[in-house]
Amino acid sequence: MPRMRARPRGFVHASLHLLVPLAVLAETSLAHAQSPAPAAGARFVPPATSVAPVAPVAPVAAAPRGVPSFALDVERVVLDNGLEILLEENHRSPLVALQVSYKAGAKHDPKNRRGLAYLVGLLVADPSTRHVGRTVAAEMYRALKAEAFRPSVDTNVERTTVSYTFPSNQLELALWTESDRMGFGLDGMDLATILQKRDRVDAARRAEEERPYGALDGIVRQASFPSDHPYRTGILGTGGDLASVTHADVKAFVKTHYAPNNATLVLVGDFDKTKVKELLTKYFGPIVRGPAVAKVEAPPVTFDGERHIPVAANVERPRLLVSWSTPPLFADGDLELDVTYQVLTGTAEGRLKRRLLDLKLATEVTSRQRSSALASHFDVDVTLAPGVAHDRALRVVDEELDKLRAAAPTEAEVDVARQRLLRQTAFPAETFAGRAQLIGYYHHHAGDAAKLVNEYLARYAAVTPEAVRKAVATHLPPKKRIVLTVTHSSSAPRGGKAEGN
Amino acid sequence: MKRMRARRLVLAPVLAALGAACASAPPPPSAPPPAPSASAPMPVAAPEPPPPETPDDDFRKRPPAIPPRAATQAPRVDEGRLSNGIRVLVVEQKDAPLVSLQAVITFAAHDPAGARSLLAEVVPRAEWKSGGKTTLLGALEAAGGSPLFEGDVDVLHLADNLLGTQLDPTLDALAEYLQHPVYDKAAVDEARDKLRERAGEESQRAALSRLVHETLLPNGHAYRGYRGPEGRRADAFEGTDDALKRLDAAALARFHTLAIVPASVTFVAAGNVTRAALVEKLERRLGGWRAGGKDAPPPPPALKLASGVALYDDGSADAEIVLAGVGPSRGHKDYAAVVVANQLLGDALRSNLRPTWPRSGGTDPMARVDLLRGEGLWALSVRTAGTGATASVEGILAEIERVHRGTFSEDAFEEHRLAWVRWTETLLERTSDMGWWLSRIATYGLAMDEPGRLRDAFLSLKPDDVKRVVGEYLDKKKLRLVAKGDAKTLREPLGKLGLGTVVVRKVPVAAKPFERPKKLRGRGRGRSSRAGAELGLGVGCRLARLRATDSDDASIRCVGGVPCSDDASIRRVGGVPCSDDASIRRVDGAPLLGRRFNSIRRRSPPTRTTLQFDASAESLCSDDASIRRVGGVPVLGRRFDSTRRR
Repeated sequence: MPRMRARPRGFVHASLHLLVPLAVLAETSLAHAQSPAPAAGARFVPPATSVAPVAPVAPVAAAPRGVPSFALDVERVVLDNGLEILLEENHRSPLVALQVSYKAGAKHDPKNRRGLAYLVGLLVADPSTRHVGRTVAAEMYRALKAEAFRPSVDTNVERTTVSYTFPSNQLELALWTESDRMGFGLDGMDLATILQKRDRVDAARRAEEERPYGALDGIVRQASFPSDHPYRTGILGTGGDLASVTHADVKAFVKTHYAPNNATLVLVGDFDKTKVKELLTKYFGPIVRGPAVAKVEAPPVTFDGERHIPVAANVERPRLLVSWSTPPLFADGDLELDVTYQVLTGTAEGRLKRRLLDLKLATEVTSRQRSSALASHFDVDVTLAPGVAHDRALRVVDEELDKLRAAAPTEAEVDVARQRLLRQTAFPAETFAGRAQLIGYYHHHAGDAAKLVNEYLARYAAVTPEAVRKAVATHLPPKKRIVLTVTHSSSAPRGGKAEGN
Repeated sequence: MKRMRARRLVLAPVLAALGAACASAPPPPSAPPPAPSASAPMPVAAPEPPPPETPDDDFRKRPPAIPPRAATQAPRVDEGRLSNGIRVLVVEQKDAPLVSLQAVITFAAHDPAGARSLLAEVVPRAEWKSGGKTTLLGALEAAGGSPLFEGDVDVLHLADNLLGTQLDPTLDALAEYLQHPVYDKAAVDEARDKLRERAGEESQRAALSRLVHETLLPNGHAYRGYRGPEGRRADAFEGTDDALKRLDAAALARFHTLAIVPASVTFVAAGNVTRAALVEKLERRLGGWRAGGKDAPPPPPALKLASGVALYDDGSADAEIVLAGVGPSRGHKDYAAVVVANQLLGDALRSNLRPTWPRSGGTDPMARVDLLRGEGLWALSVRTAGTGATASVEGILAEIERVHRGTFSEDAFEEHRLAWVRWTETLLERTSDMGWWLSRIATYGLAMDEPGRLRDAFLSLKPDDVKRVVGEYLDKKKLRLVAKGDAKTLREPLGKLGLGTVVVRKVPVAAKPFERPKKLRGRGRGRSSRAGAELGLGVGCRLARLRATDSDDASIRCVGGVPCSDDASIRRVGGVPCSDDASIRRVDGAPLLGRRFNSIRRRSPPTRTTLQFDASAESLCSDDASIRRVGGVPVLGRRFDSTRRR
């Protein structure tokens, strides 16, 4: 189960790998669930403008006994300009968490401008200067930052998200700031600034390439996805694409994607819904709608056979990475594979981890189901002990998976895995920011956070040992996979380079 | 800006029309067009309207005013009791399926030295009679919890954050351990040896703190062996090697029988549980437990410091100076003013007693207040050249006087005050923080509305409050001086300061540092095993071990053979989030960070700094990342965002 990522201090732009790492909420759109049709009932009619009917919170069926569930009391409001707003009042602490997410992730990059979404994310992280000038904007921004917790602008495959938590008395200032960002975010942006930020993207990409084993994800992506697949390139894009980026490219991307009809705003915390709706209408209502954005889709990815890719990297330890193409987020098999990786390597007693360590074949063993909207990967990473050949470790990996294909794990193993996954889902939502992220995330994928999050927890709780066995047998076939064998080479980059490529 | 906007509005339709015209220009006609008819004018393509733009409303031209902070809505704390007197505190929060649970055991003032710390050290590996070889840590983790065991001179916290659905197995384990403990001899011996080893390797600051406590506090006082509350778990234990070495599994079991009784136990819970449900569950498991008296252990009595100036003669050319008074207890109404005053004093000392200060040449100035169940020390200290000792004492007294007179920056006061306000606000947000709050209410006897009341106290704090508490607690007449250095140089000048008669003492002879048996020591390289993960930190580090089974006292003392400052620690390894305030950044050759208050700092530039994490550091830490994994176990969930929470 993916876990939400903690935010660094300062308004920073954080990058994620294309296939979202385990520790991050994976992003996807749920193929079989559409946003619920607006229904009458909880209609919000602000004084200044009319709004679309809102979807009431679907009554959530009582969770089965022993299954944790959230009580989410989310009100959904849609402004005339298409901005979706999700509100949850919570007066536990005098704080408010805000999250504005734009469907402007790496998968929305134009084909010859990979990395543009990330670049624009960096650009919009700066305050809008149109109305108050650079000095005042910077001053107000500092004031907000001084009081804000966990502020970040974060781009991943699906979305670019601005989020922070602040004392509730600063709510109007935050809405003023965010509406300016949405309506006028890049006004006054000059080419020099764009180029400066582009250099930061390049630096981030270089850092990734120099991070030990940092290029392995990219190599797997290149081997997995066809050239036109939105996941083929990482969110940092390619240097070549961004080298020729123009002011017009940035403007066009912003105009299309940073529009209210392509955004969702989530507020959780200490506010009065009635008053906050007035403020939202005042600040966000006048922002004009942008063009409709086409949904990004891609065919499912399947591996026809086993592909071995030798990788040279300037690292001390050889590594073995085995990767399968697996069902997208929430699809059948996705949650079962989450349980699988927990059974294999989730704890010190994980069966694959324990065996490889006991045999002294490895110094570190991890596995993960990296779920994303369009496609997922299941990876097994083995950092080899000195002198151990890749084949030897691969044999043990195969043996353990064969066992799982043949016989279901024990109920105790699955129970520990379930508890860990349920916990990883639930605990990040302790904070208002975590709760806003949870709501925004599930809304993004299925439109009804309150319903889906509890369904998701219930599905985890219902995973059986037999379902795990079946998922392994179905989705982790022995000969349809990519096998990366990383060996030391002092002339190679630290991140790694596929040999012969 | 406005003019540019106006020009754009004027030009926009023209450009749009021009663009539209160009875009729709037809190919040249192959035949001449028919002559225009007078009655029917030639139709002209209407220009496309410009795309609408978001208006520049007036309210966008200036930021909205920020109203005062919202009033605090303190959480409702429900209190209950079991039939045997065990106290239960609950804050119900139904919105998430989480429970933050703690068994809080309050120690008595007369508990034997070292036993409290040893208990805290060994409790993760404690077993119970009906549990086979199941440890408390193992049982709670198996229930999906994230246990945390913390102990100090006042209290032992057995804390866990869990899904509400796992409350029963968690309570089963806690109840069985409390009533029928089994302390494995090997586990106790190992834990004791770890403490002994740490006692022998205590930092300079911790050693001084212990010396000051032993000098000023009367014999038998609960806090006499206290090393300090700095949050550095490596030092936050009490007991000397002498006291510790007498403890074994039998002694610990006796201590358990004596100290852990219904009257000393409070169960607190925040989250998706009601008081009635928790009381019912606990009554079923613990209601029949009868032991000890009916009254909870009282806090230590009011503190009276030994008089005079204590000068420890170590013949050193340098001197260490500590001026200490009696501070309030944690539950005192002056808490808010005292913590802010202490920060302002720390700022003042750092600004004015820094090494370049010509008169004292002081280093490492510090202001520290021990806020415990009973009254503790409020101490200001500096290390200096022997010749600068009197100037340093005078400097400290001058800074106290300056703060007492209110000669401090209003901005600094506001910055500290607001930081505390924010801290109290964030503590109201998380379920686990509310559990933490409840445990503090139980430990320090705080009022039920303390979580909200404290925020209000910081909100309404005035500079006068700071001035008042400094004058009241740090009055020169009430201060005691403890110094360490060359008696020949220091005796006379210190005697002239008017702080009392100088009594020269010998520095207690330190026992030979205890060394654990080799097989238990780290080997400079990590490894994982069924018992847990172990992290080695470079070669030559004497205290370079982190075990997944450790509680949050594992600490990094040196990196790559270079000693770090004594305040760097990694807390909570082994499947549990890393400490709030510990982070390591810039590994593998690059400097370790110095940006955070408690970061690892190097004393001297090493030739190469590599942290060997589980023999595969490269895969685990990026250059700027905190420690992500130890032995393959994730250790870090929260990063900078929450580092200031506690």
